[in-house]
Amino acid sequence: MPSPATARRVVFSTHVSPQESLSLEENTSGELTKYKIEGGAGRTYGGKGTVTTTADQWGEAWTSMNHPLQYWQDMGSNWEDEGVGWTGTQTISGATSLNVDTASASAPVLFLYIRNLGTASDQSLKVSLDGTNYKVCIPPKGSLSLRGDGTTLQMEDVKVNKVTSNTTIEFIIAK
Amino acid sequence: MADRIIYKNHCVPQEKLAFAGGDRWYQDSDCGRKLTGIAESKSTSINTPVTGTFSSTISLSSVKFVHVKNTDTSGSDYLLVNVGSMGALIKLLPGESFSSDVGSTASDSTTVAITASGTPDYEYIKGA
Repeated sequence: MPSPATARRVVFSTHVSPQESLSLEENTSGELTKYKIEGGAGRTYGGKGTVTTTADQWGEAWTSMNHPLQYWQDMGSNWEDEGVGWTGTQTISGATSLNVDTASASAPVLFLYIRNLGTASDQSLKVSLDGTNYKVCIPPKGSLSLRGDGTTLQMEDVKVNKVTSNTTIEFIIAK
Repeated sequence: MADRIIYKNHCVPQEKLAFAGGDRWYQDSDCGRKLTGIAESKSTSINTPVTGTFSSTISLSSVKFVHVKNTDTSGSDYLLVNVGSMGALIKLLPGESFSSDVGSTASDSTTVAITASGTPDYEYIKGA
């Protein structure tokens, strides 16, 4: 008999490596370009945190993914709310809200993670945090993680769209 | 020399089960795994990193990539990041950072404003 989670949390981190290029002696067309840590930055950067989210989320669609050992009949009464395919990814071909539950539309977003699974250079993804203006960009293979402030960023505000070509994403949007 | 920024966002969703003898955190069974995405930023010019103690709004313009960190190690002071004047705020507690390309396309830039509650220490890197 499955036991409901008594609490949920997400441990998240970022890592940044600023680099500058060097060319070896025989570099004629970029094939011998090497990189080192950028001199002004001097090191890598990063941070780590833990977001405590709500134990009982707004529906099964709070994440695009499914556990590899999960059975649909164990999803409780919310299995029909699963908003994406069983592959655990969602195709983005136009403006798409990540919140499919109108009852939670105005709930604050406590944690958001989006991974762009596109690999081609024209498969960038743009993200809106106000439902209208797209001001964050996720390059192919890139990702975004953030903690909402608990007030201004609400579930209905988070939308994604392709920049040029269709792409696919994985995501977590938790209240 | 050309600059580039390689950046990564990683997360580990977890759920807690209570049982006799104690509680334990497990990998979240809704998600099933950890997530990582690593990419090269569209920024090709890295400004010198800036550190300080927050005293007034920090306004950055022509930003293609931004890394902001609350470098406090304890306490409850936090930073708030507003990308592109969207109004929705990203909260950074001590030790947390936000690292992302910004701007709506793979080539353009936007503004970033950093405010705070309290007077946390900070560091940021702007990529243009």
